[in-house]
Amino acid sequence: MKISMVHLIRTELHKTLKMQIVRIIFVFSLAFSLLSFLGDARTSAFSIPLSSISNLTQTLIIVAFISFTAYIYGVELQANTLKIIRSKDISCWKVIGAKYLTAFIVVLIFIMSIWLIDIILAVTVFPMADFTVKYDSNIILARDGMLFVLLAFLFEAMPLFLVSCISLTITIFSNSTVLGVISTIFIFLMSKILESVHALKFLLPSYHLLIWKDIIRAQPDWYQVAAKLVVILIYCVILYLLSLHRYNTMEVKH
Amino acid sequence: MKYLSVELLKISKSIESKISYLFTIVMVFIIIISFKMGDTSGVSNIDSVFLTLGNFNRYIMIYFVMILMTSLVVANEFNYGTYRYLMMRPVSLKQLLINKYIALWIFAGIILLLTSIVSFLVGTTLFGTGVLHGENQIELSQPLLRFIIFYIGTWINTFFIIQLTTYISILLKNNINTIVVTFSAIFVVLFLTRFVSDSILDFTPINYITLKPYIFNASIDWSHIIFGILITQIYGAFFSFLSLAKLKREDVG
Repeated sequence: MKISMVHLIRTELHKTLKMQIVRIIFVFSLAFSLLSFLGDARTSAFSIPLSSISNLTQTLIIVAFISFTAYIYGVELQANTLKIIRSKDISCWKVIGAKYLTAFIVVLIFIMSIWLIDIILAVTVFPMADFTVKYDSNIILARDGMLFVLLAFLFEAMPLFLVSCISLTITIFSNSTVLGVISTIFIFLMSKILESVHALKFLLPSYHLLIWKDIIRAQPDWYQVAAKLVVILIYCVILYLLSLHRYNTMEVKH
Repeated sequence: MKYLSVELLKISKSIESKISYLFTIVMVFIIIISFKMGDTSGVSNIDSVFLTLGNFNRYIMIYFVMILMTSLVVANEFNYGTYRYLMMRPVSLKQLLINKYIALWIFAGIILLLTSIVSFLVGTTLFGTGVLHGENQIELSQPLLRFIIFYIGTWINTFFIIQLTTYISILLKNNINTIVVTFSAIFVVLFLTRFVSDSILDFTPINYITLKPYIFNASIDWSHIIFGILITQIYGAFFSFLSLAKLKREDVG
């Protein structure tokens, strides 16, 4: 009997959301995002989720968190279940594809949960007023606030998915979750430092991490958003194909 | 000493240590080359050593490497259940812990030394020899002494992260969870520092993650350096005490 992609994703998702590590990461991210309520006096509710996303992305902490999606593949290594999967009548592209798509769904659940909790708490405490951001001198109107913040979080899922893809790919190549996680964080640290080289900037994964900044402006820079999305998508497809090739050619010992 | 050599062997044979060495070398090249792309007039090889060591502290890279290695050496004993055999050996828990600490500390020293040597060599090739510069390009005297203080101070302070990660490893008994929790805890604490006054932070290891501000003045701020190292070690000793107490209550069965 052929197993459908939807069934595979559902199984992967069920497995992933039950993992202790995913819960730990979620609690930490939420706690970290709630710290945005501390500090300077807020005049607009929209500043809270923006402060959260800024803290999470600019400190690279989210890279550390998201890279743990490598566990989606790592759990197979830990439980020695790769041989069982191989013996079943499931195409390799589906096995790997399901893991990548599960990573995307987990990232989406993760980021949108933070948005939802932040925005509910923020509008309860603060008024939905016009607001400004440090990198744009123009005022962002309150009527655009809700949509812009929602889009910022939604689009931010894409660079975070790239983090997951890098982490998953390295895990598949190295057959080690720890190496997948560590190498991803190393890659982002290196990439962050390399950002000072202007010519390389657009190719670096860390440069695309702050896609939300192009949306949260009085006039969102959709051209930049589209360009960054294209680069991210190209990277994700390349990483998927590399993983697929590796999975197809590797010898499964367990 | 027998256990120390076992721990050292475990570290040197691990893929994590090889990754750490590779990461260190690549990082040094990246830091110096990306610096070279900017305005580097008057920069010397000794400046590049301080630049890389400073960045290793600033971006807590050395912390990250040590969290990885400590989780390998300590948490993995729980992952694979080998801690039961360790606890049955005719050696005290204190000695076991000290051996792990020393092995990890030696590794930290090697990583920092590798960073310094590679950055000196790359710096000499790219910038040539010269004097050490402080803030606003002022020339600083005693570059070798400043380097030794920076190197040794940073090395001693890595002992704190080893002790903290050991405690979290013993608590969580899983290397992946240890890496996540330790790393996240550091980030959260670093973030929270913006709400705490500097006079309070002076009594925490936070203000001594990098000793550069105390070394890079016209005169070396000895009192802050010694006080910082002392404070960091007191916090570290506290975590060691907790680790030992937790290990003593651990059930071997």
